[in-house]
Amino acid sequence: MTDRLLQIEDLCVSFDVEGETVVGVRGVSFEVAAHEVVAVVGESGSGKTVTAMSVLGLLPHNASLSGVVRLLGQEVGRLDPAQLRQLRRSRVGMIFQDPVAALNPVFSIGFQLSQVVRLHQPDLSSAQVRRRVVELLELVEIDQPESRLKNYPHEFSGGQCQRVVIAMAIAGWSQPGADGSDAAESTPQPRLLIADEPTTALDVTVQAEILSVLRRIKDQLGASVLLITHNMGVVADLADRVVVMRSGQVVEVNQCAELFAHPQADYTKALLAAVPKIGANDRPAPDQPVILSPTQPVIPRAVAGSIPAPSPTPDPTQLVIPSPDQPVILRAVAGSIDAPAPTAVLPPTQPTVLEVSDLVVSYGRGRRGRSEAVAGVSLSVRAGEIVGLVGESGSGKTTLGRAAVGLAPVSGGRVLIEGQDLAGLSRSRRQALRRRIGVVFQNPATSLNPRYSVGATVIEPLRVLGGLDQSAARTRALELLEAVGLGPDWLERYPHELSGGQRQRVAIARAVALDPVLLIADEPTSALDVSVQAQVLDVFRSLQARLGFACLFISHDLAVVDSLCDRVAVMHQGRLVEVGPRREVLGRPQDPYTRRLVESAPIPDPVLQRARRQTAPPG
Amino acid sequence: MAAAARWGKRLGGLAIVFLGVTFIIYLAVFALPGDPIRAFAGDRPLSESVVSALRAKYHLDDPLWRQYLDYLLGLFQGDLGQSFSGRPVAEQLANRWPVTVVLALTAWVLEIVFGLGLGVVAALKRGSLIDHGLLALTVLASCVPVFVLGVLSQQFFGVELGWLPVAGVRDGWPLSYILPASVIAVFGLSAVSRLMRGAMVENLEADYVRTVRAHGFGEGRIVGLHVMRNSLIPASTYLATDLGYLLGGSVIIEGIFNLPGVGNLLFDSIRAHEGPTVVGIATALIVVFLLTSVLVDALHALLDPRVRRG
Repeated sequence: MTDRLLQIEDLCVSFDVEGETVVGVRGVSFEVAAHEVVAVVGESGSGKTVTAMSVLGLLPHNASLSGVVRLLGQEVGRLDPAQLRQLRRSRVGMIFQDPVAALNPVFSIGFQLSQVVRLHQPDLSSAQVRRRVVELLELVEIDQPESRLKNYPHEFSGGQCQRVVIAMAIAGWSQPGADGSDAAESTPQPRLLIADEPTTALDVTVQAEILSVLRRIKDQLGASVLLITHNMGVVADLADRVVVMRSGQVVEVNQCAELFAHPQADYTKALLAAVPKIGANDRPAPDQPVILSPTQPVIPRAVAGSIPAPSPTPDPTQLVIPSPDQPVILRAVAGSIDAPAPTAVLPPTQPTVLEVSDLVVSYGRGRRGRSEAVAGVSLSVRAGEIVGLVGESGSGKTTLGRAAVGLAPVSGGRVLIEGQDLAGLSRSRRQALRRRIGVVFQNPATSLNPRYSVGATVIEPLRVLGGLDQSAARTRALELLEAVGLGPDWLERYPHELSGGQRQRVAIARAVALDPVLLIADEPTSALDVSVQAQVLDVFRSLQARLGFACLFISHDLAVVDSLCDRVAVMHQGRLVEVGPRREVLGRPQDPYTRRLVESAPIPDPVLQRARRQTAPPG
Repeated sequence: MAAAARWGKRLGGLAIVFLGVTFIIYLAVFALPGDPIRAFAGDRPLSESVVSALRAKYHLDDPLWRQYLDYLLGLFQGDLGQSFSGRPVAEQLANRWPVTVVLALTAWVLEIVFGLGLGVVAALKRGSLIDHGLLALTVLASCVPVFVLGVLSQQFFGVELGWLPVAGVRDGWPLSYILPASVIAVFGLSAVSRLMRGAMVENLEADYVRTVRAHGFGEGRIVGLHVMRNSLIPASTYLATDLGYLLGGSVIIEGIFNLPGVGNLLFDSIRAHEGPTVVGIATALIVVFLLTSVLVDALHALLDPRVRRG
């Protein structure tokens, strides 16, 4: 029994959403053995989180469950609330996707950790509790834990919060004796850590640190890990076995190395193919679009509370790319439709569209409060060129993008669009210039007006700014939507009826509606699943090849940037640390920060990733 | 250090608001149609010399800014001025305010106890018949105008059942205050219970609740400590603001129940063109309001560490 910590047999979970039954998980079976890391992978709506929640009985009230979940020999579904609490307190811990939200904002982390310690060891004195809390924080590598006990969650970074959450999850595990001896030295009891997307909200270098903490817990405390993730790089880094889920069902269970080398299920193959990899672009035929098998429907969203997406008439998994003999629908086509893939070095004859010189953007007032989000950055983007701007959160990359559109206060330096300084122009000239810039934001769910239909969203700029009449604008909107792979049926739909990828297509169509010379894309695919991301990137690529706009592509994902961009600029703490052709920056990074960034991104290949980790341990 | 600077800034802001608002009130009261001297005299004809003597006594012929300055100077010496009938405004206020304060505190406690209580019950039983019933009741209660509610409750509890006095303060606290305080409290109580329910429901679904539940804490601690503490933030902010509003007295309720409070005094003074009294009351109310706004900030910072800084 100790060999199998967790057994899931034929698990089915359905949700009652306003009288309708929505199936979240159907017939899932797998096991987690002692000292084993099992990764459950799948895209959003695949049921992986629902599976993880059912292990500790944490499903919402509207869920009903059948099948067997046996944890540490106890059947979770048959326990009464008191027994369930007892099980949760035992050798199981869980950590979550959003570490900042997972902590109570109004209590200090010292208090929150001590209450968990007290829960497990009610008879410790306050001094002992405090010592144990400090010990736990040291275990998860928080610097100077003594001085941070009084701090509140909002005073910690996301990565630090995740460390605290991990510390809380394992608080009951290694019971120190009176002499402080570690339980890990005696025979370790089987323990299970359930990690639900533990690094998704974190930067790539922080992700590497958290993964090393998880690895340490697994090795030192002898724990098994049930890892829920969508990131194949994380899977390759940590997992022993992999469970691939789709639409609430298990598609494939395989050893990690075997899964990456010889995936069995078609879905696994498509999923792996959709994962962007650094360096993949250097192989021949880089523009081969990745299309999931068109016979398979789009993954239905089946999480509690969500509305099933309407089945689209044109299959959105298929890209509608107009053939060259169709009438040319968009003005100012700089290059034919079958334009060659952009090369790394553009001829220098192309005019510069965006010229940023010594840009400083600072926020706040007063001597101490002033902080420079962008501290003296110079960068240029030429016509027809895609420049990737990479960096972690807080690096100033988004601010730089905003400053390029005139949405951030420029306190020093200049931003020139086609040689004109936005700041020096009159209001009307500035507006006219802004019309020549398109912007796509990260979260299409919030950047589209929920009260505007798809048609209205795309027609608005055409009529108001482009001066077209209603019928001309409508015709043009249809052409634009078709160019991003959405047919005429989509005109009357509203954002909430669309999936994330479809929304982002609409946002792109709107952004290019006025035929911009410059497109600023701020993390346009970060909120999307990998297969959807691959489709949206294809749309993006083909549009750019046809329209020839200059593009500043802001992203934290090096692999996406690698697959799309001509040049790459790396930002760190408001400064540009490295700029150059994609292959050089990502292939042979010169700056130490760029090198760290490239090394932190886990390679979606278990053999390579493990070899790399052994040669250069992170941190 | 930083905190002291922040509070200094805050108080400086309050001073500016105080000056601005008192001036506007001063202006408004003296722009009222009608002559205070004539109103004071009633039907008796006054000789020209008496009128000019009175006008000189109350500085009515000075330019407005001069009158306002005099008033401010008096204020800083603790003098709220004198009414035209010759009584110090401060004394009038001292006579009337206790009634209003008792009424306000009674209503406030009712809002806290029942508002928070009903909110918690509705949140814990969300989706149930109790929840829907409470929603209907609170919406209905906040839709009925206070004077309707006041008169109806007088009729029912005072006249027909005879449990409570219909009007006046002769029976003292609590008997005389229960009806008017309840009527006042109904509106705030509905708002508090809705706020509390909303915040509780939101927090019950929050990620950190899932975290503590995953650790195996009991529901009592989860709801009683984690959820309550977070949910109290919006409701307590509303309650503190509402205290300022309640202390200002209610013209309508004090009128209906014939309570000799500030609201009543204000109403009488406006009718009698007693400019100094109106300005005096308004000034006092502004001070109460400004103080409660400081209280709200302090309370918010106390409850929510994310608001604290420095």
